[in-house]
Amino acid sequence: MARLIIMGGGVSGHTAASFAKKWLGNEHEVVVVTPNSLWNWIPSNIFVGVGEMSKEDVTFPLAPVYEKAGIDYRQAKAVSIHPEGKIEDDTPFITVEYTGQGKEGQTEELTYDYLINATGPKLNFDATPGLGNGKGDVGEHTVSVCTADHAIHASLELKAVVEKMKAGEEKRFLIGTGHGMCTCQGAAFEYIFNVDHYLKQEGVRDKATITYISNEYELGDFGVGGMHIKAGGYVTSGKVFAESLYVERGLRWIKRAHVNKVEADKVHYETLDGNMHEEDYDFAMLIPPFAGVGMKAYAKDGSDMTDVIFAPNGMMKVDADYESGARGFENWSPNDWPSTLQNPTYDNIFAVGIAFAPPHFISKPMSSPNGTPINPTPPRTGMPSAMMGKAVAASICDMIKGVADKPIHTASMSEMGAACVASTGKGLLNGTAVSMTMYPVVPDYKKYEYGRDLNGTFGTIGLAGHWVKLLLHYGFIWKAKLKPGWTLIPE
Amino acid sequence: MRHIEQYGQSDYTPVPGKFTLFLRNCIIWQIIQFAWINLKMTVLIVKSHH
Ligand SMILES: Cc1cc2nc3c(=O)[nH]c(=O)nc-3n(C[C@H](O)[C@H](O)[C@H](O)COP(=O)(O)OP(=O)(O)OC[C@H]3O[C@@H](n4cnc5c(N)ncnc54)[C@H](O)[C@@H]3O)c2cc1C
Repeated sequence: MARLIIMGGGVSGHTAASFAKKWLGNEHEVVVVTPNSLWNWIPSNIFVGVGEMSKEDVTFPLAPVYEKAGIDYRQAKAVSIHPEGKIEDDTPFITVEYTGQGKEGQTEELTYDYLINATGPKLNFDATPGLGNGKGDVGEHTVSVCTADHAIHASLELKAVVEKMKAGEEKRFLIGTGHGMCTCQGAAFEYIFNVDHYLKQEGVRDKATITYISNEYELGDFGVGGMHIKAGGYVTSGKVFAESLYVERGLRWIKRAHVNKVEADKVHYETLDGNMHEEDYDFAMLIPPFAGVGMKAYAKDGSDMTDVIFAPNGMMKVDADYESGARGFENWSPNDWPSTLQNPTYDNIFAVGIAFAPPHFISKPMSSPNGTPINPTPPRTGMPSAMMGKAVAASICDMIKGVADKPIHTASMSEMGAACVASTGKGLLNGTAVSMTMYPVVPDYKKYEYGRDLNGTFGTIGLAGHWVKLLLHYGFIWKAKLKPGWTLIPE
Repeated sequence: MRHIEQYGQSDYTPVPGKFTLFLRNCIIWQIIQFAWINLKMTVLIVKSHH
C-alpha cells in the first residue's frame, strides 16, 4: 500500500486529492494535510466583500466530504519536509502541526511515498509597511478579500463607509495592488467593479471617487504581459479593453505603482519613473504580494536543506528551467515553464498551483531608476491550478500502479489556457460581467503572431458572463463537494 | 450627462455606444453569447488537458 500526502486542500490540492482517491481506490492511502476546516471557493470571496454572499455561500466543511471519499484528512499545517527520512530510517516524512480535530498545537510525523505541495500562497501583507499587522495578517488600515473572513470584514467596512455617504459625506476608494511585485490583479479588477456597482445600488455613487492602483505597466497586463483580442474588426490590445471598462464606470487609475507604505488614510507609492507620490483614501482594498508558505526541508542528518527544494521566495522548485530567467526577457521561451511539476532532486515530490516556483515573470521585468522592481509576478489562477493538480495526481497514480516509472501527464502554463470572469450584480437579470479567456497563459511569439491563439483569447461584456460566473460558482462548489457527477464538471 | 475630461484618462479611450449597451442586456443576444462563451471555454479546456 502506497501513501500519497497532499499538503494544502485548496483549489489545486483538493482537485489532486479527489482524483487520486478516485483512481487509487482503497488499495492506497490519500492523506490531505490542510489547516482550515472549511473549503473556500476563493473567487466568490469578491461577492462576500460587498455583502452579496455570506461566508456559508462560499465555504463548506471538508471533514464530511473527505470522510465519505475515504481520504485521510488532517487539519494541520505542514511544517517541514524530510525527503531522505532519518538516520535510522530512510522513509521520507513530513512534520505537521495540528490546528484542529482536538489536537491543536500537537505535532506529528507522517511518512509518505509521494508528496504533493499544494500549499498556495503566503499572503505577504508585511512586505509593505502598514499593509500588514506585523504578524502576517492584514493590517488595520486596509481590507482584503483574499480569504472569506477578510472579505466579511471588507463588507462591514464598506457598509460603514456607505452609511457615512448616505449622511452626505464624500469618500475616496482605493483598490488595487499593495506592492510592486503583486500578482492576482484580476481579484482587484473584479472587486473595484463590484464596489462601483454596490455604491450605485446604494444611491451614493455620486459621492465617491474610485481609484484603481496597480503595479501593471498598462491596465490589462494581469501579470501575463497583457493580451490581444479581436474586436470590431481590429486586433486590439487588452489595455484598450480594460481602460474602456474603467472609463465607462468613471473609475480613475494609477499604473506602474509600487505601494511602499500604508497609513491610516494615505498610501505612499513610487512609480516606474522613480517619482514618489501619495494617494488619500477612506476605504482601501489592496492585494498583498504572494510568497511561499515558508516550509523547511531537512536532510537525513537533520541539516537544513530548504534551499535545495525551495526557491528563495519559498515556492517549490520543479522541472522548470531556472537558468532561463537570467537569459533576459527577449530570450524567454515557453519551454522554460515546468510541465510535469516534479521536483528535480526528489522524484517523489511535486508542486502544483501557486506553490510551484515559476522560472521567471511572464510580464517584462522592470525597475524604477531607484532600483525598485515594479511589475506583476506570474498568476497561477484557478483553472491552471486545478489542471496541474489533476495532471500530477494522474502521473502519481500511474507510478503507484506501475503503469509508468516517471510522470507522463503534463500541465505546462505554456500549453494551458485560463479563463477569468469578473462579474457584478445579483440575480439572473441584474448583473453584468467581463468574460475573458486566453490561450496559452505563457505567450509563444514563435507560434502565434500576438503571442497567443486569437481564437482562444477573447473578451466580451454582458449579462451572459454573469450567468457563466453563477454557473461556475455553483458548479465548482458542487464539484468540490464531490457530489454526483463531479468528475463531469471540468477543472 | 457625463462629460469626458479633456486631456484626461477618459479622453483617449473607446466607450460603448447605445447599441452595444443595449446588446449587453438583450436577453436573446445574451443567450447566444452564453452558448458562445461556454463553447469557447470548452474548447479552451479540451486544448489545455494533456
Ligand atoms: C479574491 C480572489 C479572487 C480570485 N478570483 C479568481 C477567479 O475569478 N478565477 C480564477 O481562476 N482564479 C481566481 N483567483 C485565484 C485562485 O483563487 C487561485 O489561483 C487558486 O486558489 C490557487 O490554488 P492553490 O491550490 O495553489 O492555492 P489555494 O487555493 O490558496 O490553496 C492553498 C491551500 O493550502 C493551505 N495551506 C497553507 N499553508 C499550508 C501548510 N503549511 N500546510 C498545509 N496546507 C497549507 C491553505 O490553507 C489552502 O487551503 C482569485 C484569488 C483571489 C484571492
